[in-house]
Amino acid sequence: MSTAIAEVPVESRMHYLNASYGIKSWLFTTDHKRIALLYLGSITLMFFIGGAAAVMMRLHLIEPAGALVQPETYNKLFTMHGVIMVFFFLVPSIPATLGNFLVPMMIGARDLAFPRLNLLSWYVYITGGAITLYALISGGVDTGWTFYAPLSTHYVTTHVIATSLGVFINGFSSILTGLNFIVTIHKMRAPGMTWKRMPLFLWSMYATSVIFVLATPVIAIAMVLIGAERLLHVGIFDPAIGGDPVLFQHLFWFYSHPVVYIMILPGMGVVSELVTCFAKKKPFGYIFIAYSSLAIAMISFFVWGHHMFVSSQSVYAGFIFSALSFAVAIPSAIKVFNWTATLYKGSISYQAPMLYALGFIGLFTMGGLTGLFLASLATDVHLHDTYFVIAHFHYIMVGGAVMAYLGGIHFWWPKITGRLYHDGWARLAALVIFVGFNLTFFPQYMLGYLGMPRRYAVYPAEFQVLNVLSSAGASILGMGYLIPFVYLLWSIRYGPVAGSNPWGAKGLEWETPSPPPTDNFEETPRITEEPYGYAEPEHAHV
Amino acid sequence: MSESAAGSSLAGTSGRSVSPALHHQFEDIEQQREAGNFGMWVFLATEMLFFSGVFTGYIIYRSLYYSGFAAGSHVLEVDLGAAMTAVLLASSFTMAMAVHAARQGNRAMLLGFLSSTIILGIAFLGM
Repeated sequence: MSTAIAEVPVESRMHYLNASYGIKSWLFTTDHKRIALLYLGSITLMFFIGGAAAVMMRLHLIEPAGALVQPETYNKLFTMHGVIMVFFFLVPSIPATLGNFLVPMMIGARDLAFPRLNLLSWYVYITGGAITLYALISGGVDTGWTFYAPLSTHYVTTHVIATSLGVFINGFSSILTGLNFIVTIHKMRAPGMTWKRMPLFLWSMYATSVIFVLATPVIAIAMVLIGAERLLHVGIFDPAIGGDPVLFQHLFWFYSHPVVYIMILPGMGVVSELVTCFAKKKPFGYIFIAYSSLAIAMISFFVWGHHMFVSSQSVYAGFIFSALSFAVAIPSAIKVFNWTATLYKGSISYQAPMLYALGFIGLFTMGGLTGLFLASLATDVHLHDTYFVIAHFHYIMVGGAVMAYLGGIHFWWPKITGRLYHDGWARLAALVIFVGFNLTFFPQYMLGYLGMPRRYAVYPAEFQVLNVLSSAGASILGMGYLIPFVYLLWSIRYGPVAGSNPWGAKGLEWETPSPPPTDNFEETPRITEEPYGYAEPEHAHV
Repeated sequence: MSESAAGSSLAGTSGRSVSPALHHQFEDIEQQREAGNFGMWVFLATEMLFFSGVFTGYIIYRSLYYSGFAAGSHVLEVDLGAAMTAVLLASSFTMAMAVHAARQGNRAMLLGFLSSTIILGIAFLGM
């Protein structure tokens, strides 16, 4: 670590953390960096609540007849886990924390285009989150995070309205963030920061924002229609009163398939930064990685039908959705091959963020390839609604998105806080998470292939060994998530001072002190070089 | 560089000549206006997608239950519908005029048009 850079001690310099004090200075801030930290705190809380539900599910499934809770409670647990993790953790995870912090810094701007809108998006998130938590705690909801009608509109008596209202409100926080990023990236780039000089993280943020803006409104209206049918008995989805249940699935998945890419695209952006920095090499095929983000965003809007191969969709529509789903594999594979090629002959160091990035590449590849099993019409009939699906999307969302999120947090932590964490503990945590993750979810591929359906509170005795393995893995994974929580918090107070660029990374955000001043840069930077100039000799930024 | 107090109190703008209307994150008024306009277009795109779900539902059910929709059209109150449309369009007009007044810096006109927009909005909801 290059601690040789001479720098004024953190305490004596003005930066965004000590510019003002007190709870009001945080609750009314319009500084994108502080809003990023507000989000970081809130989504971490949500992550642990959603995680607690998962722990109870895995404990319950240790015994075939169920070890812990009533089946009705089990239904509420997996709904709570899904709703919180998808809408309140994964969707805002990287964009609202790292994205908020880095988008203006990476393009050389003082803030996002609409700072007050940015603060509003956090309040909208908190409102949606509070309503949803109220619903989940005051009695819960048992429809699954998918809210399939007419189950959700007619048959269940749980808090569907309140939960869908929470999801509806939360959607606008995503829309506002996406809108802000799109305008900022279009209009606020510093002189010389052309599109093709932007860090790859920004291309992925841009692609994610497009999905935020175009897909989120559709889930919002689907939630409104659920409410209309449940409260006013308008026959929209319930066939008993003239509705069409498959229409709900179309509306739901028109958002909820692109939302998968909302979760994974930012992760791909983070990994592109990590791989280039820790291989000390220009990314192989910059423009392909950049455009593949846009390609993924575009194709993601035309694959939603692969969730409905077995729900009365026409066979011909199935053919087309299957082919288009295979097409998404192409830009995804381009990224994986380009990261691998970037590593080739690189000067690689295995610091903690890089371990997460390498973990991401492997686990994402597994998750992506098993996705093709599900995109194939014939195999999907066998695997649909089994644990194979659960394992597949957890490899993408946990093995992919969460690994990248943690890698990104570890990479930019010195920039955010000005402090270094203990690298040994961080590497250990990355390893524990990797092992725990695979032990949790690999057995679920096998369970699904053998025919264990998802969302069941009980199962035949022959599945017990694999279920116990999965639960054992979950306990390791849970420990792995607690370790960073401890040493990262510790580092804020006791960690060594980081300096402006502890990794020797390229990019505008590393040219400003850590933590950055409120306005990010002393004066607006002018960009005269191509990005990722790692091949050239290092010049120290003093 | 002698600008109004509002301009010079903005954080981080020292050394730049600023108008009081310029927010600190922008370099100049031109950039600020472009960002605002572009943001509005992006917002309109989200609105289109927001209502697309309802329109899709409408089209599907109109083709499924065509005779029901045809029968329904006969009980439509044309006068009330026309009046509501008129109020809605008038409120768009007053809002556009309010924006125009804000650009001119005409505060009295701005407040007048904004309050008439609010009144028309309440009238629409009451109809």
